[in-house]
Amino acid sequence: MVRKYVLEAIPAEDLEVFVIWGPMLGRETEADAKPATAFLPDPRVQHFWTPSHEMAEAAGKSVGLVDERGWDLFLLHARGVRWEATAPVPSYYQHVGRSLPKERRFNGKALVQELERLLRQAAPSGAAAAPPAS
Amino acid sequence: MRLVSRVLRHPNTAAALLVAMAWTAATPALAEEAVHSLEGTWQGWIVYAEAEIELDFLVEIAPDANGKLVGSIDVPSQKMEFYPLTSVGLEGHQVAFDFHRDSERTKNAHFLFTGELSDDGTRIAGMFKGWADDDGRNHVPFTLERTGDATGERAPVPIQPLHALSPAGDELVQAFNAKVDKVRLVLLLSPT
Repeated sequence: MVRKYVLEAIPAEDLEVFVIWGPMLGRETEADAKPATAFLPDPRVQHFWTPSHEMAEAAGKSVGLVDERGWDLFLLHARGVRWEATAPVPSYYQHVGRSLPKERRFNGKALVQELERLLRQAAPSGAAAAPPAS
Repeated sequence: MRLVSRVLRHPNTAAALLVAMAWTAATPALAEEAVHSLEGTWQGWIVYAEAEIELDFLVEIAPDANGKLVGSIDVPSQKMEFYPLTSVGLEGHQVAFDFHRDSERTKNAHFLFTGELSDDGTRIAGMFKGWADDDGRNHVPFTLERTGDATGERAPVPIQPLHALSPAGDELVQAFNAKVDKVRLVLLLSPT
């Protein structure tokens, strides 16, 4: 549904999507993640595989989860937001089945509305693209 | 061999299709009949909750050697591809097709689509009875759009590059910050 409601609905090139595939259920492997990438075949999407839960734990903390990993999260970040020592608090988020507000359960239409709002916002003054890796 | 491929490659079917195409081009009434047909590839969604829980699926329908409609269904989220339909029917504008499959609770469970074909023959809308979602809904709307002919073929699966992520996620952090001028959406998902 991310493809239907986000990628196909929003052709904007100033959107970047990062997908972290991981062992949410405890049994997934990288071999499961490779075919899953086909669900989101878009040049704006970068796919990552992690066998650990550290990223999910960091993401969970960023939305206020306590003692619960942040799998099945959809985190929107505005222009200018940088990831420093800890995962940044998202400008907006949605979830599936987490101990988070029901009104933040995944809804493609609401996600697109928030995404379009952020796309209309200019970057904070002074924000610039990170220099290319050396 | 896949069901629809087997049907389409039968010499009697091929010959019948060629004759039908010639008559259709020559006869407007027959052209209208071609519009009022289930033959082809259809793609759409089973909607448990709009924009929240939807399953994408594909149905392919073609006549067998005896002219009887046969077909298959793909439901990627259920890892179903070319799964045979038990029956396919069109009566007037009323459409019905179904399949049987073991579910979590029931062996050989019955999954049924009933709906209506649009006047221009490009769309089917109706109700699906089958898998229940977490809220127990198992009788939900579906829609299908005609996307082409029944070919028995599928486009290659577009596997994307997959980057290994260290536990601390340094690679993601670097990529995230490299796009600081963009709006970024980060998803954390299970691949199964």
